[in-house]
Parts: sequence; C-alpha cells; structure tokens
Amino acid sequence: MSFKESIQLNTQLGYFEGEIPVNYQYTLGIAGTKFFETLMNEGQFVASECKTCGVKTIYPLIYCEECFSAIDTYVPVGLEGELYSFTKCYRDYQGKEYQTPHLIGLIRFEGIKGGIIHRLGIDDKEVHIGMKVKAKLKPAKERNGTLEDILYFEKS
Amino acid sequence: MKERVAIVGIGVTGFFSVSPSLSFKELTYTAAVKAYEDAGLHPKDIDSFITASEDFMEGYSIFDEYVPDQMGAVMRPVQTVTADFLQALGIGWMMINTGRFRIIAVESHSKASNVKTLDEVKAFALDPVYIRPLKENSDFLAGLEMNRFLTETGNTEEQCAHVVVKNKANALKNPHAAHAAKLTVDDVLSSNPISHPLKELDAAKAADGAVMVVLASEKEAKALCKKPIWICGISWFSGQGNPWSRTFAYADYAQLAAQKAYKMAGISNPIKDLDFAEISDEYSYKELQHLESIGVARKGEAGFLTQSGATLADGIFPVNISGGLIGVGNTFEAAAGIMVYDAVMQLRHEAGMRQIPNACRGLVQSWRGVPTATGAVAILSNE
Ligand SMILES: [Zn+2]
Repeated sequence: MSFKESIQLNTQLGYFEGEIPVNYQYTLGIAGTKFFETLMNEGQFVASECKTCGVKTIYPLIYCEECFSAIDTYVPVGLEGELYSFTKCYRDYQGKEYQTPHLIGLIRFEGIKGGIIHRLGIDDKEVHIGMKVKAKLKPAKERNGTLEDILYFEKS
Repeated sequence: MKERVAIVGIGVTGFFSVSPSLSFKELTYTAAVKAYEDAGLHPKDIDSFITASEDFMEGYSIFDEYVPDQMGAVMRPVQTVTADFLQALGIGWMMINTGRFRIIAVESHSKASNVKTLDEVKAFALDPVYIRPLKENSDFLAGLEMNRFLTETGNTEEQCAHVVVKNKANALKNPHAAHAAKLTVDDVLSSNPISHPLKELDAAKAADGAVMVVLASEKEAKALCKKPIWICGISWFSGQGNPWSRTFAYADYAQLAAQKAYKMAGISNPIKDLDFAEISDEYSYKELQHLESIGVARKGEAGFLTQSGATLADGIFPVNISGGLIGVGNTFEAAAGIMVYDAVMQLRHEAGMRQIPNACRGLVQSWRGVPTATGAVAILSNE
C-alpha cells in the first residue's frame, strides 16, 4: 500500500470545472405563515405561547422547544425590544467587501424567548448592547410577508 | 464491565492551503495507508468504516457513495455521518461497545480548496427564511456572538489576540500545519475587521487534508498495539438550535458534552486531572468561550488565563499545542481529526518538538462551526 508516483510539475496539474445549480422554495409552515401574515397585514410581531409551561417564543413555533407540547396560541409582541448583541459587517454572503459596512443586531423582547436578527439603523457611535430599539417597517402597501418587511431596527 | 475502546492506528496527510496534486480520494488514501500501517492492519481486518462529511462542502450529493474505495472499503459496511470527526469517533466507540464490532476505521477530510464559492456554501447553512435574506457573510454570526461574549464576560479583544499569537506560534513546531506564523498581538488587533469585533486574523483559514483513525476493542488493542490510546469519555450535544434563541456568553453544547465526558472518565477537576487540551478555535474568542464552558476557566477568566501564559505549550495547562484550527487550518468536518492526531502523538510521547513532559491524559473538544451549536468532547488517555 502506497503511492507509486506523484505529480512533479505544475503543468501536469489537472482539474475539472463543475457547478451545482440549486434553487428552492422554502415552505414557511403554520407558525412562519402566521408570523409573516401578521407582520404584513397588521404591522406586528407575534410569538407563540406554550399553554403547558408558559414559554413564549419568537420566531413562533407550533411546538414548545422546552416541553414539546403542541402550540396553537399566538400573542402579539410590540415592535420595541432590547439589543442583545450587534456586529458591524464588512462582507456579504459571497465574501465581497461592502463599500459601507453596516450594523446587524439580535433584538430580544421582554418576557419572550428568542429574538429577531436584522439590520440596525443606528449610528456607530450610539450603538451599544442593552439599548432600547424599535422596528421600522415598510409602509403597509409595500409589505409582502417576508423578512424584508422590516427595514431595520432604530433607537426608540 | 464493558471492554474499553482504544485508538490503535492513526494517519494524517498534513494540512495545506491548497492540494492541487491530489484528488480528495487520494488525500484520504494517503491518510488511510498511514493509519493502517500504524495499526499493522489491512482494510480487510476492519469490521466497519465511518466517514464524516457534508455534501455541499464536497460538491456531491449522496456523498457516502464516493467514500469506500479510497479506504479499502469496497463491498464492506460503510456509513457517512454528517457531523464532525469527533462525533464520528463517538459512533465508532459506540459500535465497538455493542460487542458486535472489534475494529472500526473512522475517516474525515477537507478539500475546501475545491470549493470556488466557499463563502456562499457557508452562508447556505444559515436559516433560509429568518437569516439568509439579510445576505450577510456567515462570519457575522460569530461577530454577533463574540461581541456579546466579550461584553458579558469581560474578556477582551486583546486577550483573543493572545489566542491567535499562541496558536500560530505553536503551529510553527507542527510540520503538518498550513497556517503557522510568528505574530504579535498588535498584528492581530490591526488586521482588517470582518465582522466587528471579529478581525481577519481572529478567524481560522481553510485547509485541505485527511485524517484516519483505527479503533479497536480492548482485547484487540492489547494484542495489536504497544501504545493504545484509550477513549475514556466521549460525548456530543446540540445546544440551542436557533441562533436567535442562544445565550452567547457560553457554549451550552460544550458544557453538556464536557460534563458527560468528565463523568465517564472520572474527571472532577479538569485542570488537575488533564495534562493538555485541544480546543476548537475556529475563531479566537471560541477558544476562550469553550474553555469557560468546559470548566477549565471560570466565567470571564479564560482571557486572563491565556494572557498569563497558562495555556502556552509550556504553561500549567497547554491549550492547542497543535496550533489549533487557527494554526493548522480549518478542515471543517475533519477539524477535530487534527486535534485527535496531536493528542494521540502527545499521549504516545511521539510529538517530537511539540512533546510536553509526562503527558498522560488529554481532552479534545470540537465545534461544527457557524451557524451550529453542536460539538463534542473526548477524553483520551495512555493508561
Ligand atoms: Zn412548553
């Protein structure tokens, strides 16, 4: 067992180009549809509420992460939350550098497990962990039931 | 009492930023030949084979169809697990524990340099509905976690830079390392920001390479091998799955896996009971966060421990003598394989320039990387 030969010259290196085109249509499901329909139609966030253990979760789920009970109760959550963490991003998903880096944050809501990760419309000098923030939504007519219905979170 | 399980053979290719002269199968073959030679076995002696890999990183779907031949496993039982090497090792450990298998081979490799759109493949692991539409680089989740971790624990960016300097320097003594360097803390702190507070040099760079381990039951191990390295504890956990629900101050998966592995191995005080640790440092802050999560340091103290020199190769508790992923290279699902290799060399007292005196028991900890909250812990011993 062993190699009997090896490539000794760069000019002998071989390779073959290939690609995998992949496209999907991701189903939102019951809870996801509820979240985005409420966002689009009412301009509100909703959490799911477990009637067994009382835990409320955003993004909503039809089962409880804590006790595995089935959930069919949704409760409104205000657009205001607290900045749990933030980061200043310099590169996009392809690794391309942004001309203007921007802030992304994880926003948590009082009494709710989970949170929303989204852009921040806050000045670099003012942004800090623990600050109160509020979602700025697209105008009702322009909303289409996606994450992009939230423009960003701003100082509240 | 159950028979113990030992590592009786191990082989690595060495790790490189590119590997244009060998296909991924040839990389695996290279590591497999070394592992079988090391164990004094032929593939026909192996009862079952396991590989750890992830389809999108390989560029194939149903990748398990592409693994048998290079391991000598044609017409043999083979399985691929979409998990990291340490989890695959745990599966091999469990198979031997059933009493139905005597010898198992576990393989993993990286051919990251084949992936022309590595950033996109990594971003494809982000939640498609709730995160991916933001179109951010997947490193942003690490930046988000790092910022909260530092703020909440009091560890600092400078202390993270000490991790990078230490691991890159350790890698200078590791002939298998792809990304060794002699750096200063200032070099790290002044490197380009990628997702503040995360900087270019805080993140492990990708590498190619393969690793294979041969596991055997206690009876076989004692017959086959002069220096069997025993797996005294091994465990893995997934923590809070959705990134928006996580606690960034500590790594729940590492804490749970360590607690269980310590219990299996009879470890009550990790610093006293272990001689060294290989810790997942895919990003510098993760080494600190993982050390606090597995109970080597108290909350907020891993940075001081690092800065004080305690985790240097000649410190009281060496961490990542191999150079870690920052020094050796990030080989994705194979990343823990680099660490297991180094731990085995330490415990056999065959680590050459890297050898620490009297190494008897060591820990290896893995993390599957962004965006996961999954990782494993193994305790290895030479007695
Ligand atoms: Zn519940």
